[in-house]
Amino acid sequence: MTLSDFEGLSDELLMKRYGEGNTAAFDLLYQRHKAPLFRFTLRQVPNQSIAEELYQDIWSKVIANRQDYHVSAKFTTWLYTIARNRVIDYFRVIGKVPEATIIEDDVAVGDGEVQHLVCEHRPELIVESEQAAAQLKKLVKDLPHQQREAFLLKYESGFNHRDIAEITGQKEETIKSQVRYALNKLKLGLFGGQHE
Amino acid sequence: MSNKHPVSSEQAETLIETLYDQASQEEPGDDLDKLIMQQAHAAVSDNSKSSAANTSATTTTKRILKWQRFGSIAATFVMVFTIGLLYQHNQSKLRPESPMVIQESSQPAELQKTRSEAPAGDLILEVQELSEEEPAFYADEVSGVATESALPMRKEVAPAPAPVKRKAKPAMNGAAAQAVSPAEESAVKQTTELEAAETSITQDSFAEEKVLIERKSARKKEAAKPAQLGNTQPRSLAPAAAPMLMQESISDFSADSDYSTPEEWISAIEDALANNDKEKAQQLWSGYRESFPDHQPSEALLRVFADDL
Repeated sequence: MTLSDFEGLSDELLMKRYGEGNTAAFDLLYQRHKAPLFRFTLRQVPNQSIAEELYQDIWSKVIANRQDYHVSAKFTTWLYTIARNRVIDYFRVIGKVPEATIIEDDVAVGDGEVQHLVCEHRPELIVESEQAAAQLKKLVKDLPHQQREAFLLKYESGFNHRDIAEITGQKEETIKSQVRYALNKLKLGLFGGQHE
Repeated sequence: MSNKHPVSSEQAETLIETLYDQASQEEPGDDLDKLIMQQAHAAVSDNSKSSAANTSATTTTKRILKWQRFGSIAATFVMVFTIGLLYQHNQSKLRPESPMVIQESSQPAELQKTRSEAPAGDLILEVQELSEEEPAFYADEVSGVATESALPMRKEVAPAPAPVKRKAKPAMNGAAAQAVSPAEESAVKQTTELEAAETSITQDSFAEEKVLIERKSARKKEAAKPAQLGNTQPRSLAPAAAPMLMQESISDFSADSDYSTPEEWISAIEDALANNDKEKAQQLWSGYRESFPDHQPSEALLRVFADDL
């Protein structure tokens, strides 16, 4: 069977096929998830080489556990759980265990206060600015681990709050707050906190 | 008036999302992609090989078991065959040797010598008679269990020479019979008849001589009797005894005569005729005719004894 034969199959069926020995199913699965997963890893570690190493380890675990995968579990949830654990392991190895985010210590930016954010340039020009992109990446990396993780899972990988809660093993409300705090920090970093 | 542009929270969130999508374009390198996919394929291939190896091992094990089974059957067959062969070998040792060999070895030296000197035909007949008993014995050996000890024994038996026709054999093969000419046949016949006549004459002469000796001894006894009794008168011969005496004298003359050839007989007859001894001539003529019935005498003698002819 070729890749086109598997186009309509879900991630779960592809993984099942791969577990049964069909390598074409893995190829398609890899193509679907390689970029978001790579960036998810890349945004959390200091450099690309480490990201690539962890990225390869993540897929190695997928390959090694292909026959233990059950269709009842969502493939992406399973994949990003593996990825998250690998990143945490990395931080543990280097002695920088991600600390739990203390919401109260975060930037106290309320929903209403965002309306007072101002930009020195017109917002549409910010998007076209490479400098702004680099600044955003830096801001994301500087986020607290759990906020960064929640932000990436939501905006990079497209998970909803419930899936992120499942992947991270936290409550859905906690995930919502972490995502909110992460966004506020990014807004502050990009647009400043100056009021009009 | 400043250049500051106020941004709402929703607008800022949308801007961040858009900016992030545009800024976040990193992907793993192609080498890393290939490496991971090769790893994934290799894992499946190894798994297949492993399972194939397991399957192969299972198949090999089955084959080994199968061959072991076959091997045990073959070994059993070979063992039984070997035992049978040894048994038959021992039996052949216990079995009396070939009758021919026994006869050859058990006979005394004289007999063997006589056998060797005997005409080939006799020996051949004996060999042939023995050979008629051989087939069963040989067939038993030829059936695959012939032993090495049995084979040389058979070598001792000389190969039967070409059969020699016996002298007394009356029947001849057609070609050979046709090859004998009529002249040869008649010559053989005459020879056979002569031999038979000679045999009969010899036998008759022997019998007659025996009778004459007995009669002479009887006469001597009778002649001695009157002397012993004092009877001086000569004994007169009875008339009935005359023919016997005459015949006796002829036979006596004939038996005592040394005439071995017809010419001698004829010469003696002519002498007797010259002396007018017709009686002696007559006796000699009878003896001559008996001795040489086929001899042709002279015309003169034939006329003298024409009455006898």
